Amino acid sequence: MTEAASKLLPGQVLALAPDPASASAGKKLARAALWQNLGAAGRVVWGEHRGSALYQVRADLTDFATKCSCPSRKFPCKHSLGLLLIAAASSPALPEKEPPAWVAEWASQRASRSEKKEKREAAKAAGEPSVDPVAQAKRAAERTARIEKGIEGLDRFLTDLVKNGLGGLEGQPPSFWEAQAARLVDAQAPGLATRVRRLGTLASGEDWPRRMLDQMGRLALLAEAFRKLPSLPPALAFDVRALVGFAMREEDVLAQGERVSDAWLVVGQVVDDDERVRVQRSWLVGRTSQRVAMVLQFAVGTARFAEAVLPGTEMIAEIAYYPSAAPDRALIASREGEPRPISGALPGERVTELLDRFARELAQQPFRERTGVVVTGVVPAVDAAGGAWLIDEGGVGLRLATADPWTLPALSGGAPIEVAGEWDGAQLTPLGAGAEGRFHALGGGAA
Amino acid sequence: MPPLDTLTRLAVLGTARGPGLDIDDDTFAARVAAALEKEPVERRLLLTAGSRAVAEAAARIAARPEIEVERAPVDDQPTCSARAAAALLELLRGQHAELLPEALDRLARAKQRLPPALLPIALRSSRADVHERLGAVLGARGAWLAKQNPAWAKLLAPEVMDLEKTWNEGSPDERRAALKRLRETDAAKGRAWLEATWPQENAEQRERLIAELEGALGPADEPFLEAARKDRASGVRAAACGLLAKLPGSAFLQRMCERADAALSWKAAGGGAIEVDVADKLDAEAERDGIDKPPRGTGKKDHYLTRVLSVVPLAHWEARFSAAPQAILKAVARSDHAGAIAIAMSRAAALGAAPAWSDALFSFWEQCDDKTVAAGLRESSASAVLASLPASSRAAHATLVLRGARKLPSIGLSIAHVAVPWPDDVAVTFVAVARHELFTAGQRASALVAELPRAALALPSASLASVLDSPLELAPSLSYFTPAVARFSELAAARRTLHEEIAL
Repeated sequence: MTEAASKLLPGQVLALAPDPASASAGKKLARAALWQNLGAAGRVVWGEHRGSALYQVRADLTDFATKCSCPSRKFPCKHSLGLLLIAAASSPALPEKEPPAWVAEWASQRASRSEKKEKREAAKAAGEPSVDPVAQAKRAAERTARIEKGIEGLDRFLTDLVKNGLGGLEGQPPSFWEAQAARLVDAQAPGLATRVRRLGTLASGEDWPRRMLDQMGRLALLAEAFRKLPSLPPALAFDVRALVGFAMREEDVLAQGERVSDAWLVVGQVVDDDERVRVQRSWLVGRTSQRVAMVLQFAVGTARFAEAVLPGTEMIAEIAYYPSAAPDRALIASREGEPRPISGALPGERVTELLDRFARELAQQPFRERTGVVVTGVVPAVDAAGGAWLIDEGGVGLRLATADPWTLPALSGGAPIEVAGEWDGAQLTPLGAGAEGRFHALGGGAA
Repeated sequence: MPPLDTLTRLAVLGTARGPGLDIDDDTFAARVAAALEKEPVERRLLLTAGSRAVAEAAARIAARPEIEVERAPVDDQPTCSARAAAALLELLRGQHAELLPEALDRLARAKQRLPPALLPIALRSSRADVHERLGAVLGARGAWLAKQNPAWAKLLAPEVMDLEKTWNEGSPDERRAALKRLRETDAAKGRAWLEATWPQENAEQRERLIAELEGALGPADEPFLEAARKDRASGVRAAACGLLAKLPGSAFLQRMCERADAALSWKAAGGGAIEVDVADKLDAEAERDGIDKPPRGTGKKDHYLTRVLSVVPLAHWEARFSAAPQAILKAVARSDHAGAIAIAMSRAAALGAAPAWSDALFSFWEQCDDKTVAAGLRESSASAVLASLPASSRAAHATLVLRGARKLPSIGLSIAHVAVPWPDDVAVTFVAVARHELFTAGQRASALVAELPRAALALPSASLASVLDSPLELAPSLSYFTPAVARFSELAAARRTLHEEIAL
């Protein structure tokens, strides 16, 4: 087995588990003694486990794709997790050998599938017409009209709220916000619907009216921008359409988006599962380009996210940014080799550089709520009131939004470290840290 | 709560009732509001608020918090391996948390420390058995971190207790702790403190405080205990008698021995017999010596014998009867009061007993029938004898019980008395017997399954390897034990991981 795979930590594998039960079942299977015919050929590993029947399990360490012959609907199943955990263990349990037919076949299918995908993308990029342009234009016009009607309704909703006063909102049940959100979903503006739902979470806590008004105001600005879409600069128009809820097709992103090849470090990950769909937000930082990219993935129920993006790993990849006035969302267009654990210091920005960059980005794209960042040279500290901070060498501090103020100080020991997270213009939510040359995932993600 | 700004105030009040949007300063918001002058007031309010929110996010001027952070000292103790850290994190999160004390002890013995990432979760633990072990594994980094959080600082360096102040002003629990600590260094002063406040303490507190005299108990305590023997509260009287019984040469003990000698006499003829003679009337001091009325269902004589004989050291009888323990117990068995005498003698074993006595008592209990003493009492009496033995004898006895060579006490009570980790003899025997009984659905299978949780925590490394490499197998008829056996294997595997990852 290759050295890179052996450096993989079990926590990174367990982050793939669809639920804690699968993770724990996987751990129980992570003993070579429970397996037979274990082997590896380059980045493909396999083994057989006798459960209720004999299950054949195979995995590709490049992207953690797995296949198991068991009937489980969890994905990846406990057998796949067990095999990956064995691969992540340091024991020489996976001897390099010729893959049996059931492995070779799977590997070659995967290779041909990815070739087909590339061909399809190439065809798209070459401008091959695939749909009837007239019908498409008609559908787009219909959708725009529906959204405009939805936005009219949203305007009335917001106007009524400020007309009657926010004071009455504190006791409103979730259904109050949900009804308006549902109308926006019907109007095919899911992005606006999500923001309305989020308003419902703001009506409590200290200083809530101000936070509520800020978010209502930003929502009103976005609605206003959509109405003025034709007069916006083209790049900003992409942003507004995306925020309202127009999904751009991946092949269009690959065809039109800015491409950046780099060693990309996955420095933080958040999974929101408060809505029906789980949304995974991963922050990537380019080692050479120093660019920040956000990879969004969606999954329904316990299904797994299509692409394995593991916090704490680094991959050589080409990404494609979605068109934007200040690009941050991106797709992983292609990868090279296996992801490896991050080592060494994280590339990043000073506190003042972050503040400057976010100001610049907001000037380009004022609807942005947050940016991913690695802040370097900061010392984590806790003030007398229990508030957590990052303080740079000049004494400038960023407030941290975290329920766990002590882990960062523990990692730093009072010395400057790098902290990865999401900055929203007021607070930084820490998601990872680099200290003494080692990366530590914080909060969600790798357990 | 800070006063609301103009925009928020208007939004809270509602534009229908509000004064209109009028900002007369030179802020960004004022300029935006002015530019939107022609719009309806609700729209102006919303768009101005939105613009202001964006502008503030963009123009955030970083704060300068007044916090001094010192650097942590360099650690010379290495951290544990990444895999050990992963295992410890699981334990700290509550998975197999019963392994935490052992894991932390191992870490300390391996002279390793917790990695920084685990320090907060370890310090947050609410378990006393974790706190007391943290000092050895926090390292310089952990001590530095704990110092910064008042809740943790207190945990690690409890202030040197001002014993006298605590005794005079503390809570009941704190006062007891102070008395106990003082008795360790100055037994006489501790007693003097107690004597001084004794009349003011309530009965419950008297009973609990007097128990703290047990540490450093000595002849000098006798007068105080003699007085306490006449206390108003029965609990205090009982506690005082209990302590006097542990004071060799005390007048109390002497009285009890005299009563015992009067009650039991030895007839050497025919291999030895014991005659029991208990007077119908109790002597004057008897009640104050804790010889109370028998509970319902217990004979007066039996009760008297139990009370008196359980504080008389067993060696006393060897000397008085000039007979060996085996012979004495045989005579006891033939007596009309066999049960009461044997129960009392088993309790007296706690005062010190030669191996010949424990052997004789175990044999007695194994041969005793239900008519003489009920099963539960036989079990607890044999257990009391076992508890009086030194560690190596307890282990040897547990091995005999596991092999079936001894019947009492039960497997559970026997192995409960073996020190952890189990000596190899006990461990190997346990595994072999469990393996056999579970596979063959033997009679003792369920008793052994009940002890698997204890075994998982007590088996030494070699036995862990043996049960993990060839797992226990269940006879088909015992399939309902599958979950228990699986839990055992899981816990054993977690312990093996710890042993491998934190090498000593």
